[in-house]
Amino acid sequence: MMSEAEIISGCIKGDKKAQKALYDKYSAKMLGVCLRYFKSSDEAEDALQEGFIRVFNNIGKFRGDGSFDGWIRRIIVNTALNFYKSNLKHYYAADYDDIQETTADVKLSYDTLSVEYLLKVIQALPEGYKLIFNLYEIEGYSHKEIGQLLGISINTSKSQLMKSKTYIQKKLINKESVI
Amino acid sequence: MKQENNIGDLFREAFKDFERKPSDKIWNNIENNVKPNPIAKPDYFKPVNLFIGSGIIAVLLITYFLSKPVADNKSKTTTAVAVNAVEKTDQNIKNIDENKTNPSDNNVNQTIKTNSNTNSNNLSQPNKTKRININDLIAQADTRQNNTNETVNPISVSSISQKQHKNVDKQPLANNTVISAIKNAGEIKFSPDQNICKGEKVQLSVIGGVNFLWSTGEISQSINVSPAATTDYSVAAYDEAGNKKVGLITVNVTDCNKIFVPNAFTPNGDGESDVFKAYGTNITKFEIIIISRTGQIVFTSQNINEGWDGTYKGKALQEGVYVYNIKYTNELNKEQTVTGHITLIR
Repeated sequence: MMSEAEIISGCIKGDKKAQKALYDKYSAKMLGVCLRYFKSSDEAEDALQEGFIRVFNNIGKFRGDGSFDGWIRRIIVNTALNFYKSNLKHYYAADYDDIQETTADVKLSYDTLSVEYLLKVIQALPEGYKLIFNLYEIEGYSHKEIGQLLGISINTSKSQLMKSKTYIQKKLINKESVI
Repeated sequence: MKQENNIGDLFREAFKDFERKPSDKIWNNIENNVKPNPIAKPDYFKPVNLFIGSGIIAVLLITYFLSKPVADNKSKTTTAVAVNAVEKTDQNIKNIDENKTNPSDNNVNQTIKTNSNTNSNNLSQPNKTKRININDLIAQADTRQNNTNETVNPISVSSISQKQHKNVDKQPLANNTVISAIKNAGEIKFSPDQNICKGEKVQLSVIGGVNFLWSTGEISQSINVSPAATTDYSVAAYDEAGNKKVGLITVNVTDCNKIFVPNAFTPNGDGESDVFKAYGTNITKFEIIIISRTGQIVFTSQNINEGWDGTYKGKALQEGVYVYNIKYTNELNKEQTVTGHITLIR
């Protein structure tokens, strides 16, 4: 078992064994990230593949001032976003006038909701909601960062997040079939 | 509202340790696509080189600003309205001459500022109706400009800078913050000159500042341009106190060589189109991957002159369509990707 430092320095030298070790260590986790951004696991795997190629080709640029895990995750997320870039324009018809406050006060039995089910809920979200919900709630990006990444305003990001949550809430309450 | 936070928490918690093992082919694909020697940290990031590099950039910028605005003013004053402007230009030329004999950093910057003001006066002409607050700012800058030019024969540039500081003092906007305000305008930075291939788009932007006026008439912080030929773009940027800094960004357009890839070949040994290869000149890095319909990588090469003869492991492959993916670096050092398909006919 190689240590993280050994893996990184090996990958910088282009050592195949280190690359495989890195892949084995992170691929499952990163596919877990990718899956949240795409409807099908084929698309997610495409993004994963592209992302890892970028990781290996750019590993010399890793400065070590943050966690390696976070660095890889950022590359993977950016790669996933790139898959959307060309179509982004259509996803946000910036209509942040009609933000609706949710008034529903229903207790959800969250414990019964499995990851697989939640993944399906996320995957079935409209693209704009999906990106922003993922980035803000799960990846922990700020609205400002999201605005810059997606080329939208902070307000759009906020309103889309709000709507995505309302949308998800409805789905969860009704336990609709999401596929 | 609480409900909504719960949703975020729920998902974050659920996906914290979520993993899914990717299918085996993914690693093979990655392995085949990783460059043998990943780019190590480029040398120019080393502090010493960075220092030298920024020095060079600074010198280039200064030279550029010294020569460019004068030329621009000369040509533009013929169309621009004011006789006044001609006088300003002359004045600026004088200033520059003096600076050349006495080129300490501060003085040069000062001249740049003076020049910039004149230049953007002209620049603002076609956009008078665009935005009132910008016009106000320009008017202010004009007043300051005229004041500066009252010094008929400035003995040294430092006297100009003092004079200018005094004038800024009189501006209502910049009352107590003269020095910091000027410093702020000075902190505004512009995109460096860009090199693009014909047909490409590039984003030019200003770093810092609150109001902007581009020579294209746009008033946003950054603009996207796609000129057909090499073009100079200028932008007047204002800080909060209304101080102006003008930037000139040249977008050099090159008619880049595109790679040519045929769409069919006939590896039957008749001497005609027996190998498949891409054609291109001035290609520095090159990589081709050919994949069969079943996803098998049948050919890879990093030499543009090496062709594929339609075989895999010595066996002639069947007729049909194969997909290629070519990555190459063009003369501007930009990586380009071409994908397409080729029909193998025997």
